[in-house]
Amino acid sequence: MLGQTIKTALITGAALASLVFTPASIASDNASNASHHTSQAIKYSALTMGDSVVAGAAISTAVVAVPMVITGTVVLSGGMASIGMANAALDSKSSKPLPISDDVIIAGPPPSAKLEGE
Amino acid sequence: MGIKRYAIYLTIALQSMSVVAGSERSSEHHFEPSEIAQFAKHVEKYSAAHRAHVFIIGRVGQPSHTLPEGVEFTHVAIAVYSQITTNNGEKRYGYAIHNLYQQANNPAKSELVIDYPTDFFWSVKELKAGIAIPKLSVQKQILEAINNGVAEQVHNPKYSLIANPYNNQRQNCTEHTLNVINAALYKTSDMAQLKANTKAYFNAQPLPVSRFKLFFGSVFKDEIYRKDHSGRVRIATFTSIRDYLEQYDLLAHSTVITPKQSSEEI
Repeated sequence: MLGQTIKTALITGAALASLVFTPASIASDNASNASHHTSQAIKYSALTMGDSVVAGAAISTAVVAVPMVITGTVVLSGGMASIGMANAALDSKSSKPLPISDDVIIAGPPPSAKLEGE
Repeated sequence: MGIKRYAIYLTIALQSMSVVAGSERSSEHHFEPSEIAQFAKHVEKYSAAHRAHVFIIGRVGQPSHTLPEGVEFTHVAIAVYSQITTNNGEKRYGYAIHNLYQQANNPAKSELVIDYPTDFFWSVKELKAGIAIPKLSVQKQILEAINNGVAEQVHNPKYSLIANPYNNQRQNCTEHTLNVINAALYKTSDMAQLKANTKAYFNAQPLPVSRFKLFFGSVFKDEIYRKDHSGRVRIATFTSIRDYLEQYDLLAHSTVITPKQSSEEI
């Protein structure tokens, strides 16, 4: 009887351990890849290596993204206004697609990685 | 119950806990980098063709057949049409994605992170995107809220994978997305008011996972917290947020994008 109880406890423990230590167990999909210091560098390499490069596209890392402010019928950011991109494609009455860069843009390294490099 | 049967039952029950959640935390990719980048660009161009300045975006972090009934996407965020300055100082135009992510070294805590479509789809198990484009007037309000720091104001860093969207005890990515939408619509970041409105108008998705699995999940994983729910577990999902927008005439367009979609559909 005692032996069976011990067996049951061992099996239970093993099963629970499999839950805790199996990588695919309860891990979430929205864990922050951005906080892995090396992941962005790995990603950049993977995108640029050999024939992985998307045809005709440059791979860039982003420094900052400024949302386009929707004012009236036109979407603008300060930068766009200054470089004359406030064209018909941006007018909300237009049926043309919003301009999208062909470049493949990925996030830069986390701020902590910047400190490590100094 | 015999020992063998007991062991089999317990093992199956515990392993099937994975249906509660998405994929493992990883920078691994399951598709060729070029495929991921092309798919991400496809999603951008589709959204740009619909002139979406702001839209709700969902991805699939684990195979669809392992997801609980009613859950089609495992991570949800807000995509914002932006001017992006690259590391060489050039200006590019595309979507920046405003996410709530778990912290890598503390999965019971979250942080707000901006990434880009190729980052967003990097670790997916299926190349599939949920797109919900609000009406332009709603997009304007969400954009104004984001520019005014509302996303930070309605962020609760205490994370739970199965957070109850009707209270602010814990929070996950979908609840945060819903908070931002509602904060924008109601022009308030008062959490009590936002949750009262959510209770009144938002239909959360019941999660068909047994109490047994949730119990073991909450015991062994800090990021699975059951105590903010009374009764049946209900969560915010991409689909329930899309349905909410549609129900109150706030939605312009929604679709699911896969690589099979031809470019003619754009």
